[in-house]
Amino acid sequence: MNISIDLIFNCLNIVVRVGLVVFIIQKYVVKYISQALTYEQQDLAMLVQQEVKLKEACTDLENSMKNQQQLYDDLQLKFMLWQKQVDAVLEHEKAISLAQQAKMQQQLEKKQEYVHRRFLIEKELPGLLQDTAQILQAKFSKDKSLGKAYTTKVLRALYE
Amino acid sequence: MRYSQSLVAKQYAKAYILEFASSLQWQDIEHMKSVMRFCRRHHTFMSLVSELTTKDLKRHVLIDDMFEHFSLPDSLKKLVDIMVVHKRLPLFPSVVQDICCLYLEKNNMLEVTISTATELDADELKKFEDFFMKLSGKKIISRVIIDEALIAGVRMQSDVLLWEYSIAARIRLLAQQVDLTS
Repeated sequence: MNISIDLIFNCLNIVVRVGLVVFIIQKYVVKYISQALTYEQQDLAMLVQQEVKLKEACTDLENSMKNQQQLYDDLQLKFMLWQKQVDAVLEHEKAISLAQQAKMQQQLEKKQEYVHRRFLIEKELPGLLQDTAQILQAKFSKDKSLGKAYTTKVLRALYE
Repeated sequence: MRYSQSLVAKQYAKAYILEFASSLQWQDIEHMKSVMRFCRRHHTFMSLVSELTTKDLKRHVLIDDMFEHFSLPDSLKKLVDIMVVHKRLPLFPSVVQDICCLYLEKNNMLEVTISTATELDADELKKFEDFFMKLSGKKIISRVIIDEALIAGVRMQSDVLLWEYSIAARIRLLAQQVDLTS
């Protein structure tokens, strides 16, 4: 009998304990877990939203990068064209400068030649012409037929 | 030959030509030129004659001698007489010069000096004269002189025209061209 009462009390004790545990669990743990789950779900939802936003941001960023790349490419192209034009202008200016230098050099040489020739003419030509006249005079005086032939030539030219 | 600068002399010459042009020969003009050259060489000659004639010292003898010496035409004596009366005898060379010029003008003649380095034969001379006649449109009275300075070729020169084709001219032209270009 004693055994039975102990057993009953033991069982009752167990039941009470189990009930207490269940009550505690239901009262605190489940609420806590439920709250935690709710928070977790909210966090998850927020994370999902963040993910979406991040994906959108990422897409925007990619688009922006693409645009930037496009702009960069365009700019690069423009820069290359500009560079080519600048090179062409520089080349043209260089060619003009070279041509001007060549022309100046040519003019300088021409002037030098002119001055040299003028110097020679002023110095040499009067004497040369005088010598020529004397030589021709001597030649024509020596051979009268030359003078006669010249006169005939003049007459022929007059009446042709 | 050019006209003298004296208007009075030209008036005397015009009057003389009006009166006696028809009786004048080219030879007379040549004689007048010789007396003119003489008077130009001896500037005081006509002044002296004028002085002597003014005092009537052997007036006619002196003038007759001069006319005989230079074979001047008698018609000129009348002019001299008038000039003596007008006391303008020193103008005589200028008057004679103007008479020569007027005679040449009246007869459409032009005196040309043909300078040549070598002697010209008659045919050549004729051709040159014909050429200058075409050039000037006047009858040519030529005088040929030898000028070796021309080297070769011919120069024909009157008072108003000059035509030259000679080696000396070409050398001169060359020198001028060189002067111009330098």
